[in-house]
Amino acid sequence: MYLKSLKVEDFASIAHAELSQFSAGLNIVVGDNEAGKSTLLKALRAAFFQKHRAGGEAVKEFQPYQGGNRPLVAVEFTLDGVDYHLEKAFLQRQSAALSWPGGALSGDAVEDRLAELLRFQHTTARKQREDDFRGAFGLLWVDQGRSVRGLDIGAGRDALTASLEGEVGQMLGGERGRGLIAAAKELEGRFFTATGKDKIDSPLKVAREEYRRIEESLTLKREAYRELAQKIDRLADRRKRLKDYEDAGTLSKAESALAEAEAAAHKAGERDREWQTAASALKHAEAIRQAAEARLRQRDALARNVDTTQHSLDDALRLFAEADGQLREANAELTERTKERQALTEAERQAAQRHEAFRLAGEIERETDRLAELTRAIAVAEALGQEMVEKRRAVSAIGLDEAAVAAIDKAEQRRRDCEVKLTVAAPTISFAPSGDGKVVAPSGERLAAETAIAVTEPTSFKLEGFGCVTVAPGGNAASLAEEERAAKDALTRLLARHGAASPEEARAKLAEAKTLNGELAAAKAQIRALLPDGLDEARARREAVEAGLTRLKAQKAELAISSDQSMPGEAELRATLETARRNRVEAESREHAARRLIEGLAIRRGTAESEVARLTAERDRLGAELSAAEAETPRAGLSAALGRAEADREAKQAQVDLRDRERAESNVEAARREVEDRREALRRITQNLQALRDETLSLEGELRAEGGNAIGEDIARMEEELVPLSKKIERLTLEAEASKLLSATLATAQREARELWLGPIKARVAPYLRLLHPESEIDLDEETLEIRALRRRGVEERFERLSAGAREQVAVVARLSLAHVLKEGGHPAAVILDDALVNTDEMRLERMHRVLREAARELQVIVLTCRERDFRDLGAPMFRL
Amino acid sequence: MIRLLHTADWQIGKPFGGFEPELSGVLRAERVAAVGRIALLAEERRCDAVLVAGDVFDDNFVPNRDVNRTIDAMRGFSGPWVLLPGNHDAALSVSVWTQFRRLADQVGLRTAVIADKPEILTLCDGRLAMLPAPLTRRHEAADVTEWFDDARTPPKAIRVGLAHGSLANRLPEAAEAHNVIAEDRALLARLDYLALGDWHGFVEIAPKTVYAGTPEPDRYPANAPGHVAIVEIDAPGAAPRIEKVRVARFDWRRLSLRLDGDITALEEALSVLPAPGDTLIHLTLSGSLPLRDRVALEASLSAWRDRLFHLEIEDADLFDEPDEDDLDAIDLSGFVRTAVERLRAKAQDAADPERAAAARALRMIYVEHRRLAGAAER
Repeated sequence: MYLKSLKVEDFASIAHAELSQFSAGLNIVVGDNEAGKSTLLKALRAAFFQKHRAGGEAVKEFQPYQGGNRPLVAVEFTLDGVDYHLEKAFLQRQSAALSWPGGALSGDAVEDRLAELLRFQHTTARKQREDDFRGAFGLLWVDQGRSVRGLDIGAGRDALTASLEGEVGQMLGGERGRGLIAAAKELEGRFFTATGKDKIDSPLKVAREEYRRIEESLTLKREAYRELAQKIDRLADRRKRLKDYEDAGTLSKAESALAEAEAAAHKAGERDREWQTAASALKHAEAIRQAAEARLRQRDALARNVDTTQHSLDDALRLFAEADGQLREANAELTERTKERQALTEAERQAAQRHEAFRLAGEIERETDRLAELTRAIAVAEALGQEMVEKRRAVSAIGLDEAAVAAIDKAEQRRRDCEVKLTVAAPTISFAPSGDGKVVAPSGERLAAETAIAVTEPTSFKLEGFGCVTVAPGGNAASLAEEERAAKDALTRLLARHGAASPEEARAKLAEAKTLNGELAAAKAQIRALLPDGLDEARARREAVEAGLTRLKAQKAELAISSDQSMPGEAELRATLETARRNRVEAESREHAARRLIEGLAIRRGTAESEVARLTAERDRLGAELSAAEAETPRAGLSAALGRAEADREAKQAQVDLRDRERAESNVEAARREVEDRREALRRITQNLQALRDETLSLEGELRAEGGNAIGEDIARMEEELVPLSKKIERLTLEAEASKLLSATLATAQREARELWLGPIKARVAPYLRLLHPESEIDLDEETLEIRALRRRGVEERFERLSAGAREQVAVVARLSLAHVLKEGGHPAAVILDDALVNTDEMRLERMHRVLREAARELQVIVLTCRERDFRDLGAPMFRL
Repeated sequence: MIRLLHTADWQIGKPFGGFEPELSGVLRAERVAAVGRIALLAEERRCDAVLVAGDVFDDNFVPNRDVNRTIDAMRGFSGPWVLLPGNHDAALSVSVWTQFRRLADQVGLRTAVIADKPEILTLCDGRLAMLPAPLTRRHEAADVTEWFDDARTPPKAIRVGLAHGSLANRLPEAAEAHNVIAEDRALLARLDYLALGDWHGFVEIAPKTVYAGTPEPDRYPANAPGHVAIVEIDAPGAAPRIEKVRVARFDWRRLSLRLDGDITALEEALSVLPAPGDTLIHLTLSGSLPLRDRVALEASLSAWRDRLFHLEIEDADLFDEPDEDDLDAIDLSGFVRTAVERLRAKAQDAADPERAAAARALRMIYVEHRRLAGAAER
């Protein structure tokens, strides 16, 4: 297919346009916006696909905008080596003409020939739609703004498929294939839902349910039949048993056995009653006999009682007399013992007094001595005390002590030291008067010649005859003299203070004081030795001793023992006293024993006395009772009555023994049990029989009721029904399986067929796509033939999510590929792109140029664009509107 | 001379559950109708008695309706009917016989003698001594005819035994061990005739020993059902004259056809039937057919199904064998052809678990293709 030229007149916005000499490869048609590019494409479509006679909306838009009313399109094209000229006029004076070398058509024949040449069908729809299919050829033309929508095949899919069938042969089966697929789906739809599940009204399911229902019902019926059969068996069994009972006469036998047992029991009862009567008579006689016996026994007991009481009384009287005598003897003994004890007590008292008096005398003597000693010691001590007072006074008169003497010594020492120093330092004057010159010392004393006098202070010596010489020691001597004076003064003051004339005297006085102190200490020690407790204490003791002595003397005086009596020794007195005490104690214990004896005897006597009284009363009462009884019935009478009662009882006993033997023979208990057993047996037999009759009747009733219910027939019928039903299920199962298999097999084959012819498109796309988007491939939907996704490096990107640029590029290359495939199949194929790459960036546009050049080697490609520069460098023929 | 009509195995009340309800009703009714025909025959041939050798009823529990209709049908014969309880209607403590007695009393049928006890029955003014061996249970382990041997009958009376069970060692299928009857019972018991029931075909099985079979067939047989025996015995010890008389209405037949690429045999076999409307056919088909023939066969069978009383087809051994023509007819190429080829491969692969389904799928697509083609033509 090769479009050679296009002429458009009075077509919508285009008044006149003529493009001639299109190349067989790439062509660029440039026009500004509103220049009519899209209208040009519309006109081309109209020429090929629009019936020239058409009216209505589809052609109304062909109406020219200015002047004229006969839109006209003329196309020159080459197809399968034949050059055609096509011219169509619309709306007014409609016309169509197709001519080629050696032929020409006009009118409707042109439309039919076009459809044949371009392999499309005219729509039969009254109202034409924009996307109505115009054959595969038309699909290769991309309207402005539609490139981003992918292949955008839409409703044209089936037709495209049909169109493509041309080059993939009968692969797709065509209309018949689609019909068979639908039919298979319908067959499958009888059994299965769209999701492959069992359909609710599937005939197979219905048949299976029917089968199950019959089976269930059959099970129930069989069960019922079994029960019925059991009932029948039971009825036969019950009837047989009833007959056995009757044949054996079980019931009447049991009845007569009961009657016999009852008669035996009656007889046994009689015997038993006779025995009971005899036994009660015996009991009565025995009672009488026992009463008589008791009365006799009572009388004898009473008599024995009287005797016994009398004996006891006698014994009691004897005991009393004995106790009384003994008591009297004991009293006498006690009197004696008391006397003895009193005498011995007195003896003891006297011995004690004597011993006491002796002891007191000793005591008084000792205390007197003690008093004398104390008095003496006190006197000595008092003398020593007086002495000490005097000595203390002397000591204190001396008024010196060691310290004072030491101080005095020290002052003396100092004075001597000063004197020595002065002596050394002071000038020594010696007067050696001539003749008898006299030298008088200031003191008026005459000084011996040749005497060296040490002058320690200015001293005026009167030298007779001369006058007065004053010597004054100078320098050191003067101060030393002063010192010496001070020391002398100090000493003097000390001595004065202590009343001593000189240090020697002071020392002598100190020695005296020491001697006195020693004597004081000695006196003190002496007193302490005499009276360790002190003087006052000693005095107090002396008073106490004195008082004690007075008391002792008084005590002694109290004792009525004259001191003048000759006194035996201590030991003797003590022995006497001990002996007396022992005697007295012994006497006391003897007296005590005698007293206790009396107490015991008194109790015995009292007891015996009261026993005697009691027994006497008892004997009297019993005696009276016995006399009264004897008076009423004598003992002999009682004895005779007992004899009679015993005889009667013997007779009654013999009667009872007889009846008991008879009773034992008939055994009333056994007879009674026998009756009970027989009665129970009869009851059971009757019950059994009744139960059997009842059951028989009930079974007969039940079976009669069920007799006509045709259960056996039902079972047989259902069993037979199951046979064809199971065959039907088998058949339907096979049909269901077959329908599924058929449908699946057809679907698989169809899918594979599609794969088969989608393959070439994909193969064609691949090299173009690699130019634009390396390592990518497109994914076409088998069903819709739409571009589903772009797969880049294994990552799938849904087509509608790609950028607008990518979408239009992919769509254009897919379209080019499709055109290749169609062309190879001998279809007319020319690609027209109306501003199809407006979203593409420069780099990719560059690549798209290569794609277009590549495609144009085999295909005619016409690019309509408003951007000349985008395609300027392509070097393709350029047409301007 | 005495003339007896010997029949057996009426099996009144048999439900025929394997048939459509409409057909089963007809089959059921026909069993009672057969009794009516027997009564007329007995009356016509002046029989002295009719002996029914067991299984009068199909079950011990049948609806009163069946019993009443049977009683009505029996009225056509004025002589005595001797009815023997068989294994289907054993004389249990309560049985269909309890019901029969009650209903017969109600309508005043006096000619029926229920031989439910092993006791000698003297009939025909003492000329006939019947020795019945009723079954009182479905299955008897012992031979209930043993007592015949020692049964004393008047010397002038003809001794006829009546029993229901399998004659030992004589029947082809010796499966049933129950209710066995000694094969020489007629001889041992000095019988003039032993009337037997249980075997549904007519067969004189031992000397003086006959199975009358069922008078109206109730299954596809291999023996000869649908008859009664009319027996004439001149005197005690004389050989009986036995006549086999057909009384059946329905013809039950088994047919086996092998169809190999051709279905004409079907027409040939069926078109010779004398009364298709009273015929029941069990047809076993085998062989193999191309799809076009198979489709044609289905159409033909469908037509015969309408004409016959009943047609039952067993075609498990009849295989579809689609040939190239079949496949070409569906589609010459394209994916449909691919699918068809695949299905054929599956159907021909004996090891394929879906083999049968594939074969059926092929037939289905063939039929669908024809339907679509037909629609297209119209």
